[in-house]
Amino acid sequence: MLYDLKAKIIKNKKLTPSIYYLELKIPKLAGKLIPGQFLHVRLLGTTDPLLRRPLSVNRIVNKNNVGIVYKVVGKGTYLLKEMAVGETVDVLGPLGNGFDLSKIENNKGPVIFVAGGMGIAPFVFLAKYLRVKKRKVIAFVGMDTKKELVVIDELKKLGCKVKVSTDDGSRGFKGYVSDMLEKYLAKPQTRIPKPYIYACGPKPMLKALRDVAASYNLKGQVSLDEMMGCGIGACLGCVVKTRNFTEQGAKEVKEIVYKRICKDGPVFDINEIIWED
Amino acid sequence: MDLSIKIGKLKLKNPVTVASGTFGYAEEFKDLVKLSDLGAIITKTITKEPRLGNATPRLAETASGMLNAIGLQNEGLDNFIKVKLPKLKKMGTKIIVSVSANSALEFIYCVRKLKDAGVEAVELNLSCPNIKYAKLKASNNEKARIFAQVADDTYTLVSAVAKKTDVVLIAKLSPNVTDITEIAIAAEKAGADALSLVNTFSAMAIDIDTCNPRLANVSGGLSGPAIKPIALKMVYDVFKAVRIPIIGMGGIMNADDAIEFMIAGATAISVGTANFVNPGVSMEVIAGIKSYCKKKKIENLKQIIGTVKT
Repeated sequence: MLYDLKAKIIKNKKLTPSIYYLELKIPKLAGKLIPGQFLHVRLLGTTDPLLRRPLSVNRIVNKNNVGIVYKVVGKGTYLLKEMAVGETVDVLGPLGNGFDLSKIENNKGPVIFVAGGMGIAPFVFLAKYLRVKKRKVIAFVGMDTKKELVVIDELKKLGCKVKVSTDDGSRGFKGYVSDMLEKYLAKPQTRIPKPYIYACGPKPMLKALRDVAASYNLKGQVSLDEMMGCGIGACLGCVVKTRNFTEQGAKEVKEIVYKRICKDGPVFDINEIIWED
Repeated sequence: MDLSIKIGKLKLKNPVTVASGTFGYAEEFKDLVKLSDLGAIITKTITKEPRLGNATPRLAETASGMLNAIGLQNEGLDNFIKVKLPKLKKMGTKIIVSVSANSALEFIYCVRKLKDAGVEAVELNLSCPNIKYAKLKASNNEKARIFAQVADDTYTLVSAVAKKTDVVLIAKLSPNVTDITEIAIAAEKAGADALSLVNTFSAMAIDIDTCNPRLANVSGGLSGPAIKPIALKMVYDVFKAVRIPIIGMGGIMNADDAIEFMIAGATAISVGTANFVNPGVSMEVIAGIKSYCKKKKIENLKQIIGTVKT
């Protein structure tokens, strides 16, 4: 069941100069969301920007509130950051398929998170789920610079072992998060029992991750971030090229299908996506 | 109060329809829209064979509007008839199937198959700005154009389908023309029962950091409130030029916009891009038209349609 609701802003707090934490009171929705799902948020009273903004669910607070971490990148998020506590936005959700947790039920290995930039957003929610299931989680988090590192402490509090990379080397591993993961996996003992990957971030990062996962024969899921039209599968604007695949690895591309990120995703099997143009 | 209107033989319980390509095959909206309350559902365009659609990115946002270049991605006619159509028929409202094709013969083939499957009304999409067009006449050595940019092509296609089938035929026209009334008159002469006005406006946006167009297709179709005044003028012009009913569309965001199109000459209207922004908008538009009629003591929509004082 889809809901289109008015939601009151409970918090809209600056975490870094460009990243904010938004908390919305949505009792009807909060209990129905799963990690990896998103809300499509509309600013009321304007047609510029016209479209909604798809924002990943970061956490559920007190069973009634939904926490969101967002970065100011354009007009929509700029206007959102200017909004005050007590003001109202329109929220459509729950949207998308979340992370499929059935895949790790029979997997004894650790769970690996790979987050690039704002791809960190869904992992607090996912970590909470996995903590309940008593899973060992290692979170690989990549950011441009240490100034943009957010919600790392929440992940640590939820029992995740956090490994940080920054592009400028201001904290942790200097370089890409996929390279940091590769270096970690190069030690054979880190691959027994086999880890399972959940990833979210920009496309080039996920593409590099696909190569790392393939070279160590690891399975996993990736969540894609894309501009969206309707968010409910009608407009076919936010599609991604996919192929028939098996979990053992990518099959030869026989039939290419454009799948809808909003409705068929945003989470896909790592081998399902065709990254090359 | 009687909100019903007629498009050829097709009677709609109210004038509010949803525009092709903005409402999928309706099931996506079932939680947020009482589908049986709609005047009609105009489906996403279907083609004889499945189409993959255009490369990505397919969307870009502009001031009070959006560009799309989806490229008619669809699963093809047979799959539509087998899977989508049975569900649509159960939705309790009129179904208008949007069809695109490369030739008169292909249009006839598709419309006949739809008619055999129980479809009463078809919208011929002669105006998608995001696909490659075939040249219809061997003698014509100009470059291929959008069908609805050429009065002869519009006439050829509409008359071919009108002669060979007896469904309610709606021609969807392009705003990317010098004089839309010439095309509208050609469609009327060819036997169209109604006109859908207008499709999206050919447009583009550029990323100034990379110098790349924002759409993989380079250009796309502009929709949303940015185009409303232009679309409205086209409906007004065409209303004066033809006798067949017009389904007016282009940036309708609320009931006031819808009523404005009706006063300009639209018998029915389509809500399009607004469905993306506010999925329940079609219900608000119906309610808003009702309260307008009540306030103005209007018994029949004929008292509104084309009543602009000029």
